Amino acid sequence: MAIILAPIMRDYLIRFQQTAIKETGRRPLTYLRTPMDEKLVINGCQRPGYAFWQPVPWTDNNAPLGEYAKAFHDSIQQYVSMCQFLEIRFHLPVAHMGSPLSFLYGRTFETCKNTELAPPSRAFEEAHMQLEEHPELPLGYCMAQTCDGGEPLLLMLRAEDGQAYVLRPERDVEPLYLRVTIDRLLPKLQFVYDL
Amino acid sequence: MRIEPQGVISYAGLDLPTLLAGARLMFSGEETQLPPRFSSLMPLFPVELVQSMRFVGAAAPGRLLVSPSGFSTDPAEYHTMLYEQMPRLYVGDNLSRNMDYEGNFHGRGEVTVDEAWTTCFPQYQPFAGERLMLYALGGGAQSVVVPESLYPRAAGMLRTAETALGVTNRCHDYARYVYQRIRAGESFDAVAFENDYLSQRELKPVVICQSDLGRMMQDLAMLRSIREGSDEEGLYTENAKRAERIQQYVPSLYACDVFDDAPQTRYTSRLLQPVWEDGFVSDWWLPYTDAAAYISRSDMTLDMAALCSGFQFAPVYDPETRGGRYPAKVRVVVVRDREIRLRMGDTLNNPAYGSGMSPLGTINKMVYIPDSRELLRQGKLTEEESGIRCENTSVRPAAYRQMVKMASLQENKGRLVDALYRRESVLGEVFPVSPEYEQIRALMNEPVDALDSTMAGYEHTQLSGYDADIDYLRRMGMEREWHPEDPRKPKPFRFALDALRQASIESGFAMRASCVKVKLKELRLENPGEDDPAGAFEMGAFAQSAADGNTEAADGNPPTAGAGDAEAADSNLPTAGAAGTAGVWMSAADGRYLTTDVGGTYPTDEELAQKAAEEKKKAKPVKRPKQQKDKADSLRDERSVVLDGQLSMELSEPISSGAVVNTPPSDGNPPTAGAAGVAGNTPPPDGKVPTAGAAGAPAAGAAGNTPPSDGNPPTAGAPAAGAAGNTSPSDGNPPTAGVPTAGVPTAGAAGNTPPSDDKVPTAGDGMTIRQMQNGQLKWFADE
Repeated sequence: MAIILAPIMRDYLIRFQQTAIKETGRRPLTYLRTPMDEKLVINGCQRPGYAFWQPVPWTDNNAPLGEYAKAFHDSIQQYVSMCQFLEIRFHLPVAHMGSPLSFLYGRTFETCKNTELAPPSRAFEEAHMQLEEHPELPLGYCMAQTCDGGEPLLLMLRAEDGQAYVLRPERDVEPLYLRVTIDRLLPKLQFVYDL
Repeated sequence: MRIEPQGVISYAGLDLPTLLAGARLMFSGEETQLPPRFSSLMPLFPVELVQSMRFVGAAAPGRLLVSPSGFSTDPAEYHTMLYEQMPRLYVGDNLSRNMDYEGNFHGRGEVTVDEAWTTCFPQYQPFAGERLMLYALGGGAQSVVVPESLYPRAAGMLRTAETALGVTNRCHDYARYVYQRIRAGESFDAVAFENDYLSQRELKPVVICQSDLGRMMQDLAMLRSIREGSDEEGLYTENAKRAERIQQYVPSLYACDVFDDAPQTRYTSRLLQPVWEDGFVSDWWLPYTDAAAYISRSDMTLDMAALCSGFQFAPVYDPETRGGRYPAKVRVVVVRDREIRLRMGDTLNNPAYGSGMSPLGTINKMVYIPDSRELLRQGKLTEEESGIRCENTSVRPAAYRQMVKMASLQENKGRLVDALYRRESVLGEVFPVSPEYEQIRALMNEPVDALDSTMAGYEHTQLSGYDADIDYLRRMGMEREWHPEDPRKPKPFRFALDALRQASIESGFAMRASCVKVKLKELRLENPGEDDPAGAFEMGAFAQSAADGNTEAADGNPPTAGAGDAEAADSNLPTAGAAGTAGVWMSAADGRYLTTDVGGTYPTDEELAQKAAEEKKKAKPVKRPKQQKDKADSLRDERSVVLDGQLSMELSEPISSGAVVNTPPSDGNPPTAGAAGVAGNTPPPDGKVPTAGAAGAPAAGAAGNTPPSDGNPPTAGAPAAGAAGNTSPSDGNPPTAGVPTAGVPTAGAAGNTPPSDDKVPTAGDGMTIRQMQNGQLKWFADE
């Protein structure tokens, strides 16, 4: 059955922003950088080096998917086509012990930005490059990576069917499949707002 | 930054040429096709980036910031150490995120790739804006920061390359050595452990500096651009990255200098600037102390000509005198903000416009302050009343023409420097035994030889920094090609690497490369339609090609005007040799005649008539809906009507007295199309030569570019267009522009002055159609 991601993404983004306001009293923060996707930035942040941001739609609602997009599952294409967004931090909903996924407990992941300066076409192209470097690994879109200073972990979405799996670049191990696709993953993510 | 004697322990004992060869292979992309962003990827890291991390211990579950090998992966620790060694990397947002309220650097905030990082490490330029992540070299004791796209997302690439180069084995061996000593009860000391490791294993320390890597990447980028036939080279040396952002170079108006950061002292606290017009503020300043040498203290009168000669400022063309003109006012400011970054350069590379020497015989210096206008607005520079009167602001026509001619020569020298630099860079990366060496060598020698030939006969002109660069690069080439049969044979020349010359060459290369170049055809209207006469656009293309020819020709003087006979008349036409002179002779009478190849033969009368008939057949009115017709279309229609009218003009009809007579000036030396002073001019509708915005940016002012509102010195817009079109008719009228829009001829007249005599030529006067419609000859029919 085809996945219709639009309402799920919408809920996900609305929850992200509203929870930020509710828990922190302010909009989500991001760090300033050069060059900056100015369309997503909201003025008013007093903290030096940081800015408020919000997701914005693509120009003409046309996301630059590029020539490699066809190799990726429709759910992944829908995920990147929905809107432009910056880094969204979250924890994965895993048990803290007694589970093979417990090593993911407490780890902070950060989504890869999806903007005009970092378009999905580039992400797909680099995914192909990774496939050529490591043909033993599946072709996948990098949805998020850890940002807490610990062992680096990558949360990937398999191009074939959109299934989520975790890669451990520092270890020579097989990918760890979460047996869940993005439509079921997004509603369960626990947002983190500390920067 | 002080480099430790033990070098980079992760590369210790490895063969440096092998390491560099492996890095070259990855950079050149010969083995795998990498996406463009990864084209500058090198699996080697310079010693400036490498930090030895402390040993923490086994990575227990839940223990973050520790690598599997037991060394710290704490970004704060890394950035704190790097900040102590290279504080210039942490500026702006990076610094504010990593400073606490007491001004102490903690390093716990995000650090992104910004301008400071790309200046020091140009290989990170494609990853600008990305966060820097800590990466352990070979999974061992030393770490570097890399953009997040490289690690962890593309971690496999780096790991694979390091394993292939032997770096991973070295790092693991060193880690085991550390474990042994830790287990023996010693406390970890990075420097001591590394020195002991080197001595016990008898390994040679290996140091790879960013300067070496940058130069290698620059050479490889040039080689790759040649192999791929692309124009994209990139800049990878620190000198080039610094110079790239100094928007001051304008062809034939202002040459390149090496700029160094200058501290704010009493010498630079008060600055002076020649001013063309109120309101425009250039980024160029002169130390007031130096400028005061040209001011008469008795009456506070400034000798502007002497000042501009001393600082090598270019005058602008003055249509009234047909010579040059310097600014008539000055602006004096005081620097109030100590945080303003000043850059100073010697006035060395514009000898066409002056000696560059002060009255005391020292080399004058200029100060470059980016965004000066904004600083004035903010009050960080405050203007003060100086009461200085300026005199001696005019330049004689002959002297002005000589300046322009020498500026063109200087421009050629700059291009020769670039051609030599490219040649040495590319050939330095190709093995002489390689099958492609000779081919590449011939390819790289071609522009060098062509530019050399244009400068024949000008060996005794005033020397500049460019000459030193050319000499240095020539000797470098001789060194490269020195393969005597007898190795004991002494070299007939001397060559040694010179950091100052290298900096000068790289900076100049970057500045000239960053100059905005606009091709005339890019300015053309889109979808010209079938009713546009071929001449309109070919005139523009001719203007570009003529301007290109002008910059290459050392002698831009057209042949002197003949009078009285057909041979003399023919001599006024561009010859095959003087490619650069063709643009001077552009006539607005009929664009058809400008469609021939520069320096080629002109068509005969029969060919012209046949061509006109063919064009008439081809020309069909384009039917467009009224709502789609815009201003551009109406202009095009008007022009096509005018030119069509000319093409179909019966030659037996007398030409009105307002016909075009672009007679050359009597001295035969009109300004060349490389005439820098008017390069890039788009004349305003009133036909007057646009005045320069400010002499402080003499290039911009002389070019007549409209000063940009942000105060930055304008870049050369379309020098080809302006240069080709800006002739200097002897009648003193403003030159017509080279762009088709301004050069729209009216029927029977191009808007220039009527002939000096009142005789109206007719077709029966024995002149050919070509000669009449060119308007390049005096009407001598009755002589």
